[in-house]
Amino acid sequence: MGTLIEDALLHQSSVTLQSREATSQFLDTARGLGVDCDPGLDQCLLELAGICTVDQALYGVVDDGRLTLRLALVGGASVRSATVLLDQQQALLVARTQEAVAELLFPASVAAIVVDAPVGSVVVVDGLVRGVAPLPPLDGLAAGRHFVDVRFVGGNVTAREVVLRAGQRTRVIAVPRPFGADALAWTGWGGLAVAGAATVVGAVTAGVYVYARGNLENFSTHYASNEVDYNDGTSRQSAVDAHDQLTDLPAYGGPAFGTAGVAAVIGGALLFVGYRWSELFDPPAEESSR
Amino acid sequence: MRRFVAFVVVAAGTGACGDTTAGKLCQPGDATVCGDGFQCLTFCDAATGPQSVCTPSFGSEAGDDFDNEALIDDKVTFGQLGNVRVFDGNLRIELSGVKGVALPLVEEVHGNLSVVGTDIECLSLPRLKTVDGRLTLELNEKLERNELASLQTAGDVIVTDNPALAELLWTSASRFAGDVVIDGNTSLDIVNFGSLQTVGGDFALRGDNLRQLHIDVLEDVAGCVDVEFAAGACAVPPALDGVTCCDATLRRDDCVGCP
Repeated sequence: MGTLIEDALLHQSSVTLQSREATSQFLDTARGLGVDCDPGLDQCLLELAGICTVDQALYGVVDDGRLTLRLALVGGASVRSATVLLDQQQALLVARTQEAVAELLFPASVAAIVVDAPVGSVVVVDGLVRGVAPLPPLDGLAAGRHFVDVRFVGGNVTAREVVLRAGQRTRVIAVPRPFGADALAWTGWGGLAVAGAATVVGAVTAGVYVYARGNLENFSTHYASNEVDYNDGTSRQSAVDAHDQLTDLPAYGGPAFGTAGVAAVIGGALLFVGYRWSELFDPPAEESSR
Repeated sequence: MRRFVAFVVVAAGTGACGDTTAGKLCQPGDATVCGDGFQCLTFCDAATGPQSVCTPSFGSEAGDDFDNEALIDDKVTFGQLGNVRVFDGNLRIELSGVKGVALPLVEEVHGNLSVVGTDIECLSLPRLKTVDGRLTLELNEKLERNELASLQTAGDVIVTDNPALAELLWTSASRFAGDVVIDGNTSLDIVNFGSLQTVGGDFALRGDNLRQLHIDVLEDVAGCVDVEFAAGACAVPPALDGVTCCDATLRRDDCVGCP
C-alpha cells in the first residue's frame, strides 16, 4: 500500500518525495537537535519543516484504512490535512491521492464536483468509477472539461459533460433518462426510414419520368420520318405507357419527395431531442464558491 | 457522445422541359385534349383494334367536310384528313410504310372510295355508312383487318387481290347499287353480308377458301349471281328465286351471260 501511495506522489511534479532512509536520518537528526515529537501533531510537523528549511512539508499516515495527508505551511504556521480512503481500487486510490495532494498544495487552483444522483447509482468521472451514490464531494479535480457518467440502478445511463472552474464547486444533478426520450429517438429513426423510403420512391418516379420523357421525345421527333409508326400496336402502346408514366412523377414522386422532406425534418428533430434529452431537459449544473 | 444523423433530402426538380401530350389517349375529333402542336389521331394494325392517341400535329386539320378530291398517300395527308366526317369527292388511300389507316369519323364518301396498292394491315372506317361511288379494295398485299361494319350502301363493290384478307363482316350493308366483285382474296374465309337485300348489278364472288357466306336476306340481284367457294362448304341459301346451292357453287341458272 505504501509503495502504491509513493508511486502516486512520485507522479506529482510539485512534490519531491524524500526516501525512507533520508527521512529516518532526518528524524534522528531532529531528535539530536531536541525536536523529538510526533510528526502527526501540527506543531511538531511545523518544527520539523523548519529544521528541514523548506516552506512546505507533506506528511502522510496510513491508519484505520485511511491515508491522512498533512501539509505544513511553515510561513503561515498552519497545517492542512486531507484524508483518502484506502478501501478502493488502485487506479482510484492513485487518483484520489493525487487529487488530495493537489487540494492541499493548490486549493485555489483546483475545483470540486458534487454528483447528485439517486441512491445506488454508480458515478463515473472521466472514465474512473468514483463510487456509489450518495458520494461526498470530489475535491482536487483539475479545472476544465470533465465527463460524468451515471449508471442508475435500473441500468439506465446518463452522460454529462461539465466544465469545472478553479476555486468553484459544481453540482451536477443526474436523473434517469425517461422512456419517452428513447421513444422519441426511435420514432426519429423511424421518420428517417420513412424519409429514405419516400426518397427512393420519388427518385424512381423521377427516373421513370426522365426515361419516359426521352421515349416520347423520340416519338415526337421522328414520327414523320418513318422511324416510328403509331399504327404498330407495340410502338403505340410504348408511347401510351410512356405518357402514362409521365404522370407518376407529379402523382407519386412529388408527394413522395414532400413526404421525405417532412419525415426527415420531423425525424431529425425527434432524434435531436431524443439523444440530447439530458442536455435539454436535465437540471443544469450549479456552481458555488468552495 | 452520441451523435445523430441528419438526412438532407434534396427534392428532385419536377420541372419538365415542356409538356407533351404525345401518347395520351384521346377521343377522335376532340381538338382540345391534345393541346397546341398535337392532334388526336386513330391508328390500327392487324393485331389491334383502333386506338386514338395524341401525336405531333402535321399541320392544319381539314374540317368536318372535305369538298375536294382526297388522296392519303403519306403521313402528312393522313394527319390532315384523319378526322374528316364527309368527303364530297373521291377518297383515295394509297399509303405505304405504315401498318394501318383509321378514319374514325368518316361517315359519307360522295365519290369513290379506293384503297389500292397499299401495304397496310388494317383499314378502319367504323362509322362509314355511305359510299356513293365505287368502293374498291384492291392489291393490298398485307390487308388483313377491315372494319366497315357500319357500311350501309355503296355503288359498285370491288374487293380483289388482297391475299391476306380473311373476313368481310359488312353486316350493315343493305344495298349495293352496282356490281359486287370479290375475287383473288386467297385467304378469305368469311363473308357476312347478313343485311344485304339488293344488288344493282352482278354478284360475283370467288373464294377458294371461303367457308362461310352469309347473304341470308339477299332477294334482289339485278345481274348475275355467280359464287364459288371451298369444296364441301355451303352458303346460306339466299332468298332469290331459282338460286340453289350445290357442289360449291351458287348460281342462278336463268341468268343470261353466266359462264
